[in-house]
Amino acid sequence: MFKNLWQFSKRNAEPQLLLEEFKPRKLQSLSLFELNEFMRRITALNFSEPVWVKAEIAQYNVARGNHYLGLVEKKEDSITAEAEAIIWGNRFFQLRATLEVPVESLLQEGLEVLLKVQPEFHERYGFKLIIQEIDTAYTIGQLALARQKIIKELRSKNLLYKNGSISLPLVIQDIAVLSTKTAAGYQDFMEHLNHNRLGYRFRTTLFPMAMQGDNTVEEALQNLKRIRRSVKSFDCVVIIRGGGAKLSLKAFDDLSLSESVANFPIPVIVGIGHERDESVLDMVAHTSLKTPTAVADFCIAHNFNFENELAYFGRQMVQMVNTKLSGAKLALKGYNATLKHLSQTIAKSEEKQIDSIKTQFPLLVKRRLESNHKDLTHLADKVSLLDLEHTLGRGYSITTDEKGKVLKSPEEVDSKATLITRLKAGTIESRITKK
Amino acid sequence: MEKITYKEAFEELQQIVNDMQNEMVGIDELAEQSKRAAFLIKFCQEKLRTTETEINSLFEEKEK
Repeated sequence: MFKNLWQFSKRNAEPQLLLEEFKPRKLQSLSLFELNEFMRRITALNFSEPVWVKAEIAQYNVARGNHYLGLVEKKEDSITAEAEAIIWGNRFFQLRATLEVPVESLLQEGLEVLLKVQPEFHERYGFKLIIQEIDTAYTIGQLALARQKIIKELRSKNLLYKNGSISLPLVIQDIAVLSTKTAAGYQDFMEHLNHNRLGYRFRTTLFPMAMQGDNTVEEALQNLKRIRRSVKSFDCVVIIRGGGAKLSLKAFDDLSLSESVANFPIPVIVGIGHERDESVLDMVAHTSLKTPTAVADFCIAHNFNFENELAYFGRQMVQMVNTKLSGAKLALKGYNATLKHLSQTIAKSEEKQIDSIKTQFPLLVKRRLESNHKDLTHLADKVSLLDLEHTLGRGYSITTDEKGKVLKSPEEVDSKATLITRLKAGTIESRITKK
Repeated sequence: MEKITYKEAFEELQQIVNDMQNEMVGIDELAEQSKRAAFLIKFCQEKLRTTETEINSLFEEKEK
């Protein structure tokens, strides 16, 4: 029997050969169990060792601790082959411990995987592939390829730096937070924000959502839609998730979510606690930070920067005011000195004038008096002359000696002298007969 | 009293400083402008540290 069974491994082996043992007896049939058991043995014998197989994960779910995958092969979107695969619970724990990447990140619907499987045929459950190992490099490669494809598309639509090009407001105070309330990441974030040493206060609004699992993308998109409706009341959006390499980042490589963030009208800051490469979301977000606490610190630092600029203005003002005031004071002092000097100069020059007037004054007065005197003398002479003429006209005469000296008494002249008498109309010379 | 945003306060502050640097503020206006600048700075610093409802009390104080 075994010899014949080995032939089954050849593709063109005739099935009939194998059923030699079970040559259908004309009046006998096989029980289903017998048939399936036969299948089980055929399978076991032909696959004494596991084989590597490439497939795409169409479904993935966990039940009773075991992981069930629906594997398919597609050719241009239509399925050409299908099989069910299982990772038994204990095997899964082993894998989780030994693989360098989180198993969950590799076992996602839509991903292409390279699996080491032990094909088995079970009488009751039929054909199954029991998964022994997963080739992480292959899947990572596939993941990376998928990511590259998404990044390429985002780049071609000019979305990679769109959100990043929005400027943050001067101060971040109103924050829309996408996270899970119970997650450690969210609580760390709130702790840092609400107890910052600078005393800054923030107004956060939580938009709760699952940060892992199948619904992440959908819930994130819904939340972003809601935020958009009241986008004016927020300064930015924050997407945070507690650390843990064990958690899947698949949602954050999603194209539609990344597009939504890239097109978002206000800055989106993410801190999704990845350990390895950044996800696509990290690339399209305005700012990507390692952890939720780093995001909180970022917001605080941003406001601190603003306050510093204010302080700088304050210092500039003080400096300028002081400069202006001391400048004005100096100018005043200068004016004061100038005024003093000027008034002194004026006073001095006036003094000088007065002095010179003082010294010249007596001289001037004297000269004035003299000239007046002269005038007066002239006048007096004139008057006296007029007076004489008038007196002579009245019949009086003036007697002088020969020398012209006017005689006022007989004693003033000798009896032998000649007398000259001046009358109004002429003169007479005469001799004395008797004195 | 006025309700101003950080942006408005910041821009006004910038303007005051610019004017001063460009010698466009006379000695008489110095006091007025410095007071305004000091108010703007204080306003921002307080706003950073309060939530909306608390800041109204700041204005009430100023009005007195």
